[in-house]
Amino acid sequence: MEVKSISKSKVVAIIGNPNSGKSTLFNSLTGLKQKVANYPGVTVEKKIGNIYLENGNEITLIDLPGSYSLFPNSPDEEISAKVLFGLIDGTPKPDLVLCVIDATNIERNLYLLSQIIDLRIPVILVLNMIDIAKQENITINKNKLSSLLDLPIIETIANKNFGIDTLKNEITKSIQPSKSIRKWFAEPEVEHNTQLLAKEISINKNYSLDVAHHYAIQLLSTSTINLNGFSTPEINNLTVKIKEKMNFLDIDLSSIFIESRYQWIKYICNESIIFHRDDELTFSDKIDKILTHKFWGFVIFLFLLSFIFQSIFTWAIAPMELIGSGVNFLGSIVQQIIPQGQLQDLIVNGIFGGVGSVITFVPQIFLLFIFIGILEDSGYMSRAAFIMDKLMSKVGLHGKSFIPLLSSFACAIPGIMSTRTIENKKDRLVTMLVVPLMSCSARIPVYTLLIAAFIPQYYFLGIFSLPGLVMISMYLLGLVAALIMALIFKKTLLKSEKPIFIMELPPYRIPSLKNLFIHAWERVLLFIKRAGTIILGVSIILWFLATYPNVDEKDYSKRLQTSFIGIAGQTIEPVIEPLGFNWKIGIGILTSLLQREVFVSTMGIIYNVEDHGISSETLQQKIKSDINPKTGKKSFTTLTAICLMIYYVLAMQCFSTIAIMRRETNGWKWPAFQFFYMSALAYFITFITYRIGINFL
Amino acid sequence: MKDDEAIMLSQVASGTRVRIESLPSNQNDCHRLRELGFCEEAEIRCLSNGDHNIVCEVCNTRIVLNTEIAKQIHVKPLNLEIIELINLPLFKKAKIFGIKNIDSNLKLRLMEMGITKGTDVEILRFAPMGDPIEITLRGYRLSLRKSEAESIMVSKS
Repeated sequence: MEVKSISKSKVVAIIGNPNSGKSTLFNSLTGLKQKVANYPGVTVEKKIGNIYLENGNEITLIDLPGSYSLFPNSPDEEISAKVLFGLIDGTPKPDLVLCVIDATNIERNLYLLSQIIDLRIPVILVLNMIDIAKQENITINKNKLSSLLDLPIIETIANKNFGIDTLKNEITKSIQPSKSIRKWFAEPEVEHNTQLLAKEISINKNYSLDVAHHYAIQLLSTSTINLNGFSTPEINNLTVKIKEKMNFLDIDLSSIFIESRYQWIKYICNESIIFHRDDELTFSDKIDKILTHKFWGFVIFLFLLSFIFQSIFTWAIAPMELIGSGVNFLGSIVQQIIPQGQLQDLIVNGIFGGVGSVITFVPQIFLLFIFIGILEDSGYMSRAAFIMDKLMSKVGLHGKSFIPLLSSFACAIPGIMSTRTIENKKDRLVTMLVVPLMSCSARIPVYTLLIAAFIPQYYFLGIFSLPGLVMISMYLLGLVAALIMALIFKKTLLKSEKPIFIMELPPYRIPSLKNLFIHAWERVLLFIKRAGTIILGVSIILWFLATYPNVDEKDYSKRLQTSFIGIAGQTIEPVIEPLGFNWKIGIGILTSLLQREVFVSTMGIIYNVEDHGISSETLQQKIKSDINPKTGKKSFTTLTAICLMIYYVLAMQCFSTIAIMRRETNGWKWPAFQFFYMSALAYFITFITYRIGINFL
Repeated sequence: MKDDEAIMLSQVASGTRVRIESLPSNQNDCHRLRELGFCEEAEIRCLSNGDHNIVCEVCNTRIVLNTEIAKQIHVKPLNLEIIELINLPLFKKAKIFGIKNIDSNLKLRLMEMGITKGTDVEILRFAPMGDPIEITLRGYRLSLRKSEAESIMVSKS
């Protein structure tokens, strides 16, 4: 007897509306055994995990991005649809789909399910958050719903692991051809013509009839005829013909399909769900009364933000120092193991110095993502966008762009990563382009050094100190520059309609800790991976440029000054002289291209602060008293310090940001553009400040 | 003729919206009409009224009835006030009437989120700066800009 071997494991996809608890279910099913990658050519994350069923079979589980519809409106939704159609290379067409539905919001969630049923893929309907539905007095007749839809239904409470085992058993049973077929119909004339078009698409594009039918509806219900090069002339001709005919019959194709679908959904809901709604305010309504209040809404929003950033700065300090000393400790071990020489120097100063100082940002990134996760999962994030949208729409952006901007006060990297929630591609790009203008934590060492050295302690009204005000102005300058640049980009380069603002305001929910940690941990891993690759490479190159050719020079200051980078710093002096900068600053700017705070350590090396322990002068005093031999005047004045700070507010001196931009935009074009526009902006504004300031200071 | 008086469907002028009050007494006819969407309380539109038959729009489908049957269906004209959603007072329930001819992608998205004809809708609040607004429909909450809410027409009844 022949034994049928199942060589390839079955693929199960999880899909559902945003906020349906889809990712929680995925985490409950797979735990930490998940991989995050990207779909080819786009920045949409592909989350994959493995589960083992009781019969010993292994199953590959794909978590598809949250989607409202299979007619895609964002790159995320496009991926979800294409995976289900089996149109993505490297991702097999799922053998089974788990459609997660929020039991408190069945009606709208069923829309997506009805699209999936049309594709005739086996589906299990997962009714999640069944506990909350019970609390809200929603009675769901599960058997009736199941027989009306012709689908197995499993009730779950994903964040409490309820129903997970039952679901696993059902998965074992359900991987077989689907019985469920399309049950909603438009009027006969429309149905007939849609079938005709579906057949044409099926022949022309070699799609299955079910997928072709989906595309036929999409072609007929939008005015865009081409769907980004999808159509062939034959399909186009037929589409136009059908549209003309329907137009003559006074049938509105743009609404008929959706309305027919929703009519069927309404029928299903009426038959199987009873709402015992009283007109009392729900829990969410009560919270919303305060959180979106005209006055308190803003107060609480600002309070929450300041709390978050305050805690990121204070709570992250201890672990950051721990990591810092850990890196130093490893460095000192290496110093003992590897004999003194270039190799030791490369590892200790190049690799540990470069990668190590980037790694110290891990606690901040972790904390920020925990906080963003809390805001997102609790439902507050969409309220923040709701509150801020008017302001952001003034610069042509979406309310959702506000959060990335704010996150970037900590670090532009999570800021750029959090732009993923923005649906419109161009708006997302604009947000990513301006986000690094916000003053991140890496600028703080530069600000602190220069302010402490050059801005006198002077008090206004007894409470506002001048150094504090200068610091705040730098933050404000970044914010204003970001908003203005966003407006400019929206008006010129990335011209697009004012973004559509259709956003669900989900009910408030208590976030699951497990989810928060898994999510934040994924972000941290991504960050570390990058530190280990691109940043490692750049660190080595920078080390080489800062060490050679005079590698045998024992005086670090001289070695740096005569190195490639030192020579370059001196060569660019004519370029930066109009800004009031000398060649020493030039070297600092060049070495800190990797990251901004390197400026401080470079100044330390140039002025021999670390090496000459005898000298009691600190770096602050050293740079204050430095005399420019050419002019006989001080090289650093208060004006220089201010100009330098402005330069650091605006210039793109962060290789990690460039690296993440490359990843998120899939190419070097946008990071390169960002680098040049920011450098040009920094140069221009600093130049003006210097020219004006020289008359006063 | 007063508005709240029931009339025969055969008397309804083209283009008028009516609500069905009663169906024919014949059980068979009544059953068939119900299957087609003609049931009590249903809102339908008379598309054309000729000598022998009448075309009605019922649940998005066109159905032709002969005048004999239409005489046995009693309806009441609907006095609908159609306004932009944005002009609806806070907490006042209304039914979606349709979406103006706007960018087809926006229209598609709005409809996919459940803003379809006949859906109950209500404005819950305005954002602190007056824009966007929060509405409720199909048991969930949605936020839209005023500019988008301007293209959604609702009927106050």
